[in-house]
Amino acid sequence: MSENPFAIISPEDLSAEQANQLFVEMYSDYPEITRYGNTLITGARGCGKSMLIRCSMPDVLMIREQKKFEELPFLSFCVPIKKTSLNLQELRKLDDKHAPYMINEHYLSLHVIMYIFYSLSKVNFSKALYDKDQYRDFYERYYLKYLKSSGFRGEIEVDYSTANTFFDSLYEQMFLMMCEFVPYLRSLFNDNEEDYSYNLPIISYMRFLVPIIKKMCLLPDFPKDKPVFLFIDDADNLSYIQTQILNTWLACRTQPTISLKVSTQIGLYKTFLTSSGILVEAPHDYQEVNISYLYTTRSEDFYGKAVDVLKKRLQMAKINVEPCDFFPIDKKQAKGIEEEKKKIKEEYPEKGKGYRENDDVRRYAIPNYIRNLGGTRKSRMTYKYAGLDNIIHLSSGIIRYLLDSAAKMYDRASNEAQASDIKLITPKIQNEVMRDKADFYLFNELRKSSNDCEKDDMIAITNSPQNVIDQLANLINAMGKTFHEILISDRSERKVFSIALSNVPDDELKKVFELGVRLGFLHESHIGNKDGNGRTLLYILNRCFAPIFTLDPTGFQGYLFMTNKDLKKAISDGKQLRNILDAESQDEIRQLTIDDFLEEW
Amino acid sequence: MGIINKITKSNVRDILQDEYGLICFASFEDRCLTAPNALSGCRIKNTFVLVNIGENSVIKSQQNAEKIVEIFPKTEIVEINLENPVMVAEQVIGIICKLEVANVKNLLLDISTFTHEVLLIMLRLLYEKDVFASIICLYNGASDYSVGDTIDQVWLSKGCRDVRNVIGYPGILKPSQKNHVILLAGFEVERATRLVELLEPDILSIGDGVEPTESMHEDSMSYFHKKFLAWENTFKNAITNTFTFSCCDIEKTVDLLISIIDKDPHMNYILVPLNTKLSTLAVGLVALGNHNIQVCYAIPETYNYIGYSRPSDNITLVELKNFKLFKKEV
Repeated sequence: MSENPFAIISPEDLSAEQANQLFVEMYSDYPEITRYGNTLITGARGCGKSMLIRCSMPDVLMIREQKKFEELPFLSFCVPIKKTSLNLQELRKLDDKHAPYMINEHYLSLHVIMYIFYSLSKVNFSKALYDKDQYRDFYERYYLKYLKSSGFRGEIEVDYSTANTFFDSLYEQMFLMMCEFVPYLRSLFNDNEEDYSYNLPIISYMRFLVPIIKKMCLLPDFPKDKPVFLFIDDADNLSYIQTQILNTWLACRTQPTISLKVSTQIGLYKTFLTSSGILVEAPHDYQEVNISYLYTTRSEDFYGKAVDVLKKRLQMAKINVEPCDFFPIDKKQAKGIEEEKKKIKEEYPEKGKGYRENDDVRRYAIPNYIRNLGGTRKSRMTYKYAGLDNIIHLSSGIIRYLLDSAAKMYDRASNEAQASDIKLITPKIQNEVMRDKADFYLFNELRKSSNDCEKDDMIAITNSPQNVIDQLANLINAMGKTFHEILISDRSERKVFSIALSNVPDDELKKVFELGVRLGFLHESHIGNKDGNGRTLLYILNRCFAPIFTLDPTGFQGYLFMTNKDLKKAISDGKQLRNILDAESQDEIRQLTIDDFLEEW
Repeated sequence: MGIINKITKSNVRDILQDEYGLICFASFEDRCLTAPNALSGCRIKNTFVLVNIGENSVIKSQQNAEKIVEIFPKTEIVEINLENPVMVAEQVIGIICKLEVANVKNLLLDISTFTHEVLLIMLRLLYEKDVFASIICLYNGASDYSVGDTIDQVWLSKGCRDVRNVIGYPGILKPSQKNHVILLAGFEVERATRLVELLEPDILSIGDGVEPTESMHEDSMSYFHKKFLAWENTFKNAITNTFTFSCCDIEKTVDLLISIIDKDPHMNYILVPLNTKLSTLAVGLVALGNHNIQVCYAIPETYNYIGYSRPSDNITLVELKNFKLFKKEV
């Protein structure tokens, strides 16, 4: 591991030992993922899906459960789908023209079997169980037979020295098949005459992968009568047709022998139709597991597990400090907030708004402190986003954001101290990094307004938006500004981070929200509607933007109902969502409760 | 003519004396008119102008296409949809075949306002078809980018909506090898950020462009060099290498890229050009010589349609046939 204890390492690059050390039983849904049956694993980018998969692989399990390969409770393989590995633009030439499903399935199957063989070439098999004759039998009676029936006509040099070299031989042979396939794709564009002639082998899931995997599992050094899990990671990177093919695989009844575990980002899986247009559905064809957490509270798993992740990282770096001490709060600010708490308690008998004194303390102490900082952007920026609570909440349930923030803090602390034995990150550095990260994330896509500290708007807004990005910039600015105004107002509910839609959004609004969700600026959810007779859309601002608009990211938040009319105005000028001082709108802000989210998940 | 010549636009007619076919790309940038205007009076037998009619098309592109028709009345306007690269490739191969049928031996390609993706597709198809005796690329550099904006507000495009491989450069990505992304960065470092998030490379090599196409860009380059260094720091925790490359010297950039790849050939190389069209040609040439290399295109969210650039008075001529990598092995 690198010297920075919080450095983000791709799960694929982690050794089994490292993965085991870093593993935190993150999600209560984990046992379902390793139960037989197809599973769709959804979650936001960076929430830990790939790490979860990595820790389900044989090499990590062998260490964690102190078992040999043949003793494992299940046999799992990870097949990562990178952005441009399978979804090649050349393949689209075949759409509606020439056997797109067969050829795409061949390419997908090739990819899967290559990862299976490559993984097996690295497994620590029990050498005593290796039986060359049985391997030869598997190869000649089954593997070669299925390969030849797929149209393969070549020769393969197989190395029977060990199980590892055997699978390495098969991996290299499959790679040669891929090397022959890719030029076919390039040739599709060489001429004006449309010639799609395909003379290469064609392998498929049911006619090659499934029978081969079943026979392979009968080899002496494999787990006996145990389920096989194929983890297809980042399946949202597949093309539409490839996703249909994967759905067709889901619809096949290969369980309990072979189960597909498909991971994807929320909302990006391209279709739930199979190649023949049939819908795959939960729970009939798969179970769905959502491992994203939109909100963090002390009592919920994410907060506790985030602390565990940080603790493990510190332990591995031999830094014997608790996370809350490694990321201390700003003492002056904490003192100021304590004074606000005291004042609220003193005034509660006369001015109390909540049912209990502690409700008012929780709701108003930080907002009052922020309000008392002053009205200018410069004075608001003196609020420090520091302390473990803040940095976990600002990560909006995304563990990668948290680790990346911590890593940057550590780098900055090391540079400033000119030392490598850092025992804490000062509140100043924590605050700077969280602000910089929020800036970087937002202004990667949106234009910043000028650096005039007296100007109120952080984002470059426009009265005449030219495109969806301009409209989104206006919306985000309006949301941030309005939420801040609510925070420093005298309203009873002041911690607002979301908007709920009073109407069904029209196409123009839908595009803006879709873009916001796709960029990660907004999370989409559902909430009970105002009339209490159904549900409506809820859009939650990514908490990581709290420093930009000086919002309080901690604790459960409220939401503001918005009509299409108000939203249209917001996207057209970016000034505010609505007039929050309007007496009529007092009841338009509601409090989210944990039940809203338990119901959601 | 040597491999590369930079001349003023008024001298173009003196250099290009043969009979040519011409392919242009009508854009929202006025630079798409510089070369056609400079070529009026040359012996242009057939002209094709590509114009985007897809989702993000703008009226100005259509208007500029019509201006090119005014210069060369026999121009055929070829409508393409940049959201559909298959259609783009089909249209491009159609143009090449028409030029072949018309017995055009020498081709002029005004690459000034091609998108990186269309330019690379064109390069691949011209290489595969191999029907022209000479292929000269004309490139009109910009005298100013992000016209009217101060240096800290300069923007050409924003965001990175998605990334896809360029047709003709699928590469061969072997699972047992690490993915090494080589990115030729431009002004738009933010586009590069999102791109890196989407590609998730094991190793990242980021190129910082030097030797601008026009000397008036020196101040901007200096500003963006500092921005580049700050931006590079955000990827400190990934394995990164940085290098400088020439924005205008194609041969130098080709040699540099090959040297990076030859240092460790057992990797899956993914090249992403985000700088000038000349450096994009360099990327394309390297990938033509190595089928294992994948080339990708980063699709921006939006462009600075109003003030993208102002044309300069110079045109760089590049004879593709003089590059070793463009010669097909017999």
